[in-house]
Amino acid sequence: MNLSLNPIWILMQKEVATSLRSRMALATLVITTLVFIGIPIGLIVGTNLLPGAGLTKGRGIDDTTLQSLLLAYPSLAGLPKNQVVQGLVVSGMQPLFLLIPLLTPLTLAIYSIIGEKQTRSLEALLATPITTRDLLLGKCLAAALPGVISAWVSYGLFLVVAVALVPRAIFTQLLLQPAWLLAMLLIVPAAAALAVLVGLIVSARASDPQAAQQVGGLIVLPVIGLLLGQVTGVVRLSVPITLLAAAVVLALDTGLLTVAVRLFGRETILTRWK
Amino acid sequence: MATQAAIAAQGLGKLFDGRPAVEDVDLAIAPGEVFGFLGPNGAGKTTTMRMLAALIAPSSGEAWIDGLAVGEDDDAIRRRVGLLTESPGLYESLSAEANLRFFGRLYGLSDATLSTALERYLRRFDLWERRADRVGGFSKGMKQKVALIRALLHRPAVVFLDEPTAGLDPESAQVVHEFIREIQSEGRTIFLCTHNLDEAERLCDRVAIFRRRIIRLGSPTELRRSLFARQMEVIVADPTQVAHLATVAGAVPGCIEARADGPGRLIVGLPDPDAQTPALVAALVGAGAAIRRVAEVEHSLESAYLELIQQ
Repeated sequence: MNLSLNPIWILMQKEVATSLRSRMALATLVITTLVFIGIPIGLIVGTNLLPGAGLTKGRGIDDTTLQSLLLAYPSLAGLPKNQVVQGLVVSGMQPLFLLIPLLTPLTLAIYSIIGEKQTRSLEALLATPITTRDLLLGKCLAAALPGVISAWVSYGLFLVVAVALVPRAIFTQLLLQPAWLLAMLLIVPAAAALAVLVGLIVSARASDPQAAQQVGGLIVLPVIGLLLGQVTGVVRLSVPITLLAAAVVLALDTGLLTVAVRLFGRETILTRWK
Repeated sequence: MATQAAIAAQGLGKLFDGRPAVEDVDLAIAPGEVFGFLGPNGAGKTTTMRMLAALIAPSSGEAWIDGLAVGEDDDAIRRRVGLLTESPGLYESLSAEANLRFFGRLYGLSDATLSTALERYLRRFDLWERRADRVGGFSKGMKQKVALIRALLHRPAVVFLDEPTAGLDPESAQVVHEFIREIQSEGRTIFLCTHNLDEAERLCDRVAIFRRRIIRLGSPTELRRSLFARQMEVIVADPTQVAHLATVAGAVPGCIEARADGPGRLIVGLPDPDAQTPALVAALVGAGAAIRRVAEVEHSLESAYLELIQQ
């Protein structure tokens, strides 16, 4: 089929064009990416550039804590204390990359739907031959893809900086972990889909994007929990945990997709959406 | 089913949460006809239009567009229908051309076809020079013109127009009226929802007065005549004669009523003015009247509408 006449592709192009002209949507995309990539990379660069900092000297962590961490990662036992601490702290920041596919798609989805409501363009859109399946898919992909791509590019950049600045043993043992690669591969797209679906469902009932974001923003709480768990050493992502988390998110996606499909009927949109 | 009709409906109805919004609509609108759908706010006009445009499903009855059944051939119907919604519904951050290209492509138009159609319509509405400008900066009239172009880009056989001139200045409204006549001359069927009775009277071949159901349907003239007896207005030179002349007119065979209606003005009710007016004039002249003017009293569609809605 001619891609230029594919309704999903046509809708995605329009969504991207309108998002790029929406200051709020664009700001969220850029700021989220810059902040969440800036923190881990900043930590790597900072701990290398400021050799006098407590972190690089291994201060800020007592021996008991260090021993317990080394028990969890025996392969690091021979490394200098400051390098272990640097690796652990930087590694603990990796959940930030899971916030990118949540926040950006959530914002784009909310602004897409509420934008259509505010300009009252939905009825004209629904009067075209586009199917509601294509409408839903086009909206979802256009909102999800920037978040997924942004997360992957950010993580790739993080790894490039890390491999250049972090000692090799730390990089291979703490940063380049199969669990995190798997999380990037599986959880990032699943989380983006979750954020988009939540955004679409919340927006169907809301008329104010800020209010919708406040409700939809609750989906970041599990990732914040993971971040705190990682930083404090309480939680360490493993391959089984990653697979389980991906399965849970996918199950949530499936449930929310059922709700979204019901909400995306022509009649429901025209007569039930507020 | 009326297969000859561009738009047809039988017993069409819609319930919202068990409450009837539209009841028992029967319609047969011929190809190329401009059909006015008149009714107060909340009468169910937009709901009826949405059912006919295959946007929402009827709760009862059936409808056909160009012979295609609503509820069965909805995608095909949407390809043959153009819809101007009550508000322009354009993407304000995009240019007029980007808006129109987006919708045109959704209707399956190739870039070449689109470019030709865009230039034709944008020039027709004096928007060609502004095609690259953001729609958000347009006046309401300009937005309405862009929305009208959007409804017609794919050359639909049936065009639904919901309040096409609402909020427009007289000049813009005139442009829209001319354009409606133009697309009618191309053989397209137009279903016009409006509050503007003057607009309906000037543009529509037939109108339906609607309040949840069709109260009356016919040409504007038929509607007026079904409600108001036909009357002749006679203006005479000498106002003092009017009382006497009313008596003379009342004696004309078939006359229903004859009364003085202000200085020098006589109103005479005649069931068949074409046949009876010569006798009336002869009787009045015979009674010494110096007649200045004789004309049939034209009741406005607005009077008919108000009469029917109040009933």
